[in-house]
Amino acid sequence: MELSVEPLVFPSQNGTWSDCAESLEQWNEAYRRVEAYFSALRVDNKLLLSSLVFKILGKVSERAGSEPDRLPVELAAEETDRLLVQWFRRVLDGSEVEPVDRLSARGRLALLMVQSDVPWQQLFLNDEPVPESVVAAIKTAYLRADPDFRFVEMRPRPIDLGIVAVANRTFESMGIWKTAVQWLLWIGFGLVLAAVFYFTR
Amino acid sequence: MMHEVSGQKGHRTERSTFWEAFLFFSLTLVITGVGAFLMADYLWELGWNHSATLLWILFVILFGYLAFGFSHAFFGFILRRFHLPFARMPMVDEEASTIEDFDVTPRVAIIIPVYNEPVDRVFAGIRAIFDSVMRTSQGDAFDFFILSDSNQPEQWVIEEAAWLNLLRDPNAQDRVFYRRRPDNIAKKSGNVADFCRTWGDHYRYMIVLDADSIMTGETLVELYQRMESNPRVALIQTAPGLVNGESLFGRMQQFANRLYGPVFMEGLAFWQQNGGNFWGHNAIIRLRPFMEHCDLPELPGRKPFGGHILSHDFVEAGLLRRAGWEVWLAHDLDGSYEEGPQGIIESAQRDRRWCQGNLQHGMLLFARELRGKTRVHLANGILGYVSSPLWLIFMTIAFWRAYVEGLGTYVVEGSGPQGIAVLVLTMVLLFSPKILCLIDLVFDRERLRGFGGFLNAVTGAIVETFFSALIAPVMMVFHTRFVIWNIIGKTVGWSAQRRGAQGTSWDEAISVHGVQTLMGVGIGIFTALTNPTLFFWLAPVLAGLWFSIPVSVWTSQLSIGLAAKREKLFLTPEETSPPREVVEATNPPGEPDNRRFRGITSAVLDPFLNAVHVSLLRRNRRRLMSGQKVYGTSISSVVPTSGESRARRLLAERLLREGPKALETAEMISVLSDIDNMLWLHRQAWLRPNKDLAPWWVKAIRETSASV
Repeated sequence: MELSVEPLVFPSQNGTWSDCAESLEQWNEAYRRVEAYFSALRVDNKLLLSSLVFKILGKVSERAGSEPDRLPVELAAEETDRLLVQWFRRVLDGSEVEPVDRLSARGRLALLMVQSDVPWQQLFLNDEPVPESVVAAIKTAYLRADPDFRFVEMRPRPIDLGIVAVANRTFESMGIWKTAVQWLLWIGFGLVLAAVFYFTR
Repeated sequence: MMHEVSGQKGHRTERSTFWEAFLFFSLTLVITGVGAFLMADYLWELGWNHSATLLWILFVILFGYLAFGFSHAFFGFILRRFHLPFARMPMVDEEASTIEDFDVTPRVAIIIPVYNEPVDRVFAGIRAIFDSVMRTSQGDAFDFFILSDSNQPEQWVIEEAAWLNLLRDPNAQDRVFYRRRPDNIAKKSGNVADFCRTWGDHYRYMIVLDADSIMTGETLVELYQRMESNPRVALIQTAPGLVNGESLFGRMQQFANRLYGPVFMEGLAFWQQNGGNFWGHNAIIRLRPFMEHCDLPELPGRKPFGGHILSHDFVEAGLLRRAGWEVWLAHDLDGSYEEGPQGIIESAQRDRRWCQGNLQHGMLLFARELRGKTRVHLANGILGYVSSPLWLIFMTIAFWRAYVEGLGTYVVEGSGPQGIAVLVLTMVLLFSPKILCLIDLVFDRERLRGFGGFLNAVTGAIVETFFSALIAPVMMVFHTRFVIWNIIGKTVGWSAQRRGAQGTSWDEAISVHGVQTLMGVGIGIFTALTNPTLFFWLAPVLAGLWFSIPVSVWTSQLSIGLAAKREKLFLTPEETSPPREVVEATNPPGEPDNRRFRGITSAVLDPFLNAVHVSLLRRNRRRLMSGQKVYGTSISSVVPTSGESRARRLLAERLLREGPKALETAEMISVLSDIDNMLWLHRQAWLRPNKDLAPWWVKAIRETSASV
């Protein structure tokens, strides 16, 4: 496993990072972004995490000289993404035409699914060949959200509503359902008043 | 009728269930007849007139309904105490069928339809049930399906995260599945039908659970084995006990349910026999007949009576019976639980939904070919709500008569033996079921201990009766309003049930009960000023309305519920010795994370959750595309057009630049539903410099780093 923690030279417009506070903060931001991403990937070994961050920042420091207009955090995020996609393509045999977004998602899902069985973290983003058994496990890992589809057509059986259907059809055919209900309620109210008057005499 | 017999032995022959129903309804009829006669005699003595006719008709309906309830308690008590072998319950036939005998193990799908429910509680419940099933020897036969209809973006993603969390247990992988429907067509019944169309053919049975259901593995296996031993049975419903009541109202409800439930359930099982009912959850269903007969048609006409059948469960049981299948109530099984509302207002909200569904059943009451018992179930549901306005009319006429004719004729003391007999008989019907249940408890030592002893049980029953009397007028007014609203076409939407004792605030109580209180006070002042004796008679009914606001607030509060628990008031067996599953379901591991937008943030930033979300979207798209024929969907409704994709990308850009607050719910759903956008969002959120991200994302990324 590559564990290079040699001092890095982070260039800035004024020389190296140590020459200016602004630059120091920019590189710190880059460090945090890379660290955050790997911790989101549940790389929980501190030493491994630092090693990966340093590896990325090393590559960024190489690029920074030739791309002085770009922020370290941008370059660091790009490098992380590039390395990740490269590694996934190598392990998953991803074709060059497969969109990067999709390959990345496929790789992340595979890592999630083998998390408890395969020690992928130690091999992660490593240039050395990945053992066949790990490759096989990652390639075959998939998330089973549901069983295979076995479609069955269901058709509602008619219910003959009997007298209710006749009443309903009558109202519907009159086309005044709402008006009819409204009048029924008003007439009903009138009848209740009349009934109360009549029955209490 | 086609019986499913493959791999099953131990057929039973269908027997007549005439005598049980005959006995039960004869008792109801005799009591109603006696009451009707006495009332007629009493009104005759007072002088028969038109209002007496109206009063008498209303009395007969309401008294008959009361007698129907009493008969349940009477037969339930007799059967329980004398251990009469009435029950032809479909039991496990040990000799005829052991599941291991079958060539292919029939599988059971436990389905949990969810709709914007509290995720922590729901998934803790699923975890508890899953673990319980796995502890049995038949665990391999069960698969779990979380069928989400949630339409809140945050809710959706948190459900996915919770499901992912469940899958950390290797046993749960390939056993616990998650599916979210992008639309909510036909609500819960549509959700279940969607499951049946897609995966129903894999399974012989499904067990339907509600989001708050808890069932023990032992009970689930028992249901499974009973179905295997009884191939004519299409559905076995359990009688869920209420648990986890925290407020005073919730604990009273659960106390009443646990104390009176067993006796009433025995009585119910007695008359309905194989013509049972379905209550929508905590039941096992034979899938083939269900799929064949229970795809519900839409009712003709407009809402609220036409359209989708809301309370689908009753109708599904009716359709199974119509097709010749048996439907049973497993009143003898424990290990089936649910949670109830924790306050009067929540209870009323739930009742409003149920009222609409039950009144809609009026359309089916006279449908051809339905069995008689199905009609009784439907009518019982309708009467449960319509009885409120009937009571209101009855009391209005009675008190109006008393008011205009002078109260003297209504004072029981001077009205002769008929009046007293009516009063006594009514009181007997009202209170004797409670007394029978208490006597039944005395003979069941183990249950009695669960209630904290006889004294505690009696005290609880008295206090519960007092509060029931106080709350009854309030519920009567609510139900009357719901019935009227329903008739004039005011429908209710589909909202998630509030669970847990959050407590009713004073503001909420005033806005909901204000009119009721004013009504009670108004009538009280009017009668007190004009006829003080009438006021005295009306006071017990009006008291519920006068105090509805404080009663609603206090009975919903957690602190008062817990105080009652400390005093051992309303103890139930499940509180005294809680089943393991209930404890696990109500104590989700870890602290709940209530940060706003935490789900959406994770769906974008978390590399794993983002990948899972996208994977589920892809799977669902494939499902909808390959199942177009059965779903009736079109490609255009599944795959976005280029115009839609562009619009969604703009929304995603706004999400990154302005944060989650910038998007409306529908816009957020739209972004979350788009595979390419979600992939793009994940990479962009991590690739962009801080200046191109909303402070929200910068903070969220820093928090991820800080948690290292």
